[in-house]
Amino acid sequence: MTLPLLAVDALAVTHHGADGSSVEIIGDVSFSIGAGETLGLVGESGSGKSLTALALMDLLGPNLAATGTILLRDRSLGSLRPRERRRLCGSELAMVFQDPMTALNPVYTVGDQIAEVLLTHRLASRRPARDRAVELLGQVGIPHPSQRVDAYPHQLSGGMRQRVVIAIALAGDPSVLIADEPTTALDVTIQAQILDLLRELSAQRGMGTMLISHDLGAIAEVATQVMVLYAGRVVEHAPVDRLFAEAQHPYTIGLLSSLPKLGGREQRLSTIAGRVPLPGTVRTGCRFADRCPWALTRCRLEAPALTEIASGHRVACLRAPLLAPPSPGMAA
Amino acid sequence: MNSRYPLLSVRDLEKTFPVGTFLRRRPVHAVNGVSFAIASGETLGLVGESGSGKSTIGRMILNLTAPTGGAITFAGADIARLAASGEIYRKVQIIFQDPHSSLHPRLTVRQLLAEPLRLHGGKTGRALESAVERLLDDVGLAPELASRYPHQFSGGQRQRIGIARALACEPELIVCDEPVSALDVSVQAQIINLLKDLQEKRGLSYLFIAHDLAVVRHISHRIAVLYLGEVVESAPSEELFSGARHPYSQALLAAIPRTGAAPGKPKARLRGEPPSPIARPAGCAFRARCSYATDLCGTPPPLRTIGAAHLVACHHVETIAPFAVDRTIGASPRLAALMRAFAAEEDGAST
Repeated sequence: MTLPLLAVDALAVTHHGADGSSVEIIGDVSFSIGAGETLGLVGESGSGKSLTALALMDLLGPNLAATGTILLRDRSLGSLRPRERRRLCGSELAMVFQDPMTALNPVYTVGDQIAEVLLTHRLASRRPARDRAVELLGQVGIPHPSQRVDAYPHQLSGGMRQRVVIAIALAGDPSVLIADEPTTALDVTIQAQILDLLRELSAQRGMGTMLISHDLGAIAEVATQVMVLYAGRVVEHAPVDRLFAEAQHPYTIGLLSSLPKLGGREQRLSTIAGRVPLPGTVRTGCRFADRCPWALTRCRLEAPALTEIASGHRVACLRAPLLAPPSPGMAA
Repeated sequence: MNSRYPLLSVRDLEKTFPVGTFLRRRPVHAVNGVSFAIASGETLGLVGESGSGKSTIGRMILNLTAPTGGAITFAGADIARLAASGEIYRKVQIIFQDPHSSLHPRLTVRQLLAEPLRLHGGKTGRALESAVERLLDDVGLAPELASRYPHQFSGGQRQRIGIARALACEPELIVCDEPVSALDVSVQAQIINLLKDLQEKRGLSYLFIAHDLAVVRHISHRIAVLYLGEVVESAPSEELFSGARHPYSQALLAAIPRTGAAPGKPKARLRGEPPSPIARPAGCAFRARCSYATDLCGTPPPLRTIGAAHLVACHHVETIAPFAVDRTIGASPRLAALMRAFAAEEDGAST
């Protein structure tokens, strides 16, 4: 088996308060992404999706500290000196942010902003950097790249701006691209175009992609594997087709069932009562137990471990075997 | 209400905004000849991308923006006349997209809800207090929460407060401008259920503005698709999803993400982006992005009836095969079976 491009083991982010208190915000997050693969990261607001990305990019705030192992190809990011690590971020490991309006600098042309990456990482000198910027703009599907290279962000539409942000991320020729809600701010037809672009780029370049989204639809379209986060923990992780067809965790099932679907407006949508617990408030048992309609007494006492129930399909639920689909031999 | 008229009727509505410097001022047609009607107790979904004019239409119905052409009548009376007496502001209310910025941060929930009750309902003292409690109860919030401030609530709860405020003066029509697009899916489902319950209980009508087609389909009886300020197709929801005829509606439906799409199979995607309303193309506004476009499309296509309550504005509608959404995510039979099994188990446990 080939080595994954990115392998993360037992990643945790802890908040250290000024009073000496510490609260774990995300914990025990492990996954790996191979060439051409896309990992979809799903969860509600406050589940720790973005924090996972920021921990990988070494962009955590002053009171936050990450532990665990992050292997990019064969290099352990944790053992690198800050300067070396910073050099990797933005080149080997790049990120696309949610809002293309604020991710771009309004007073520089888009060409300058792409060239900046190339110059900072010493990938090109000034002249070739501009040519490379034109080439990258073409690759992300911007029409007339040789003219658009001199455009300022406000002269471009939202979809075009997001393409520019992707071009900036691609400038360092990353082996892993992290996209945090890249289509949330865009219109439906433009969203579909950007998702297509991400899928194509990942396949063409043999790049690993991590797509963070609260939109299960976007995940379904692009991801090859999906990880569901709840209150800072992985509750389910499976290949994409399996997750949508054979979801096992009550939270995943709740999320999927709350989507409006075909079959008329008479139907009520299922909902998940309550809200995500704040970090540090659940001390024993399963973090979803309070909102889980199928929780047993022992769910509140015993924290479920993430267990592999089928090849590549991990679930953290004490009742997981109960939720298994009937085996083919059994009468339905 | 007079049953001879639909509750709301919009005819040939137009809105142009001036743009450019004062020497080269040009009009932008944000809304260009839009007509529709909403019956009592009905929900009309209004779908379109940014710049399609959907929010402008909503604002004109509330008399927050004056139309530059056309007519809006509410229960048979012109809204400009209803606005003079203040009646329109009581009969028509709005729920905004962003529950974070649409509630005054320095007012408690009690104060937020009491204002419309005092102004339009003339309530005071004990009656006012119990009306506030009843409103909170109607939207599924505990009355004890009335003394809290908006920042103490989650996004979903804040949207419930926004709904309670809209309900305060007992409106007949509510304009819902992207009310769930800022919310997580599970919360989104709660708000949609709430809106449907309230409609059933109070016989409310909704104009539901959104870009998420699956949500619009779930809540609307009929859907109108807007492109650059014009209605390109309008049909009963089920019919639009099983047989969309306008190439733009078809593209919107095709853009709904799905699982299980055959890998490697190229998808029909819309090329390019909507043209700016300033540089609006002559004839059919969609023609630059349309694969069916011919020279004929240089003249504006009229909105034609092609079936019961199904209108399409396209010259080539006869040659375009109807488009159906085959499946959406979350619709697997196994999930439905699981939900039923769990519900049964829960009933068993509680008895």
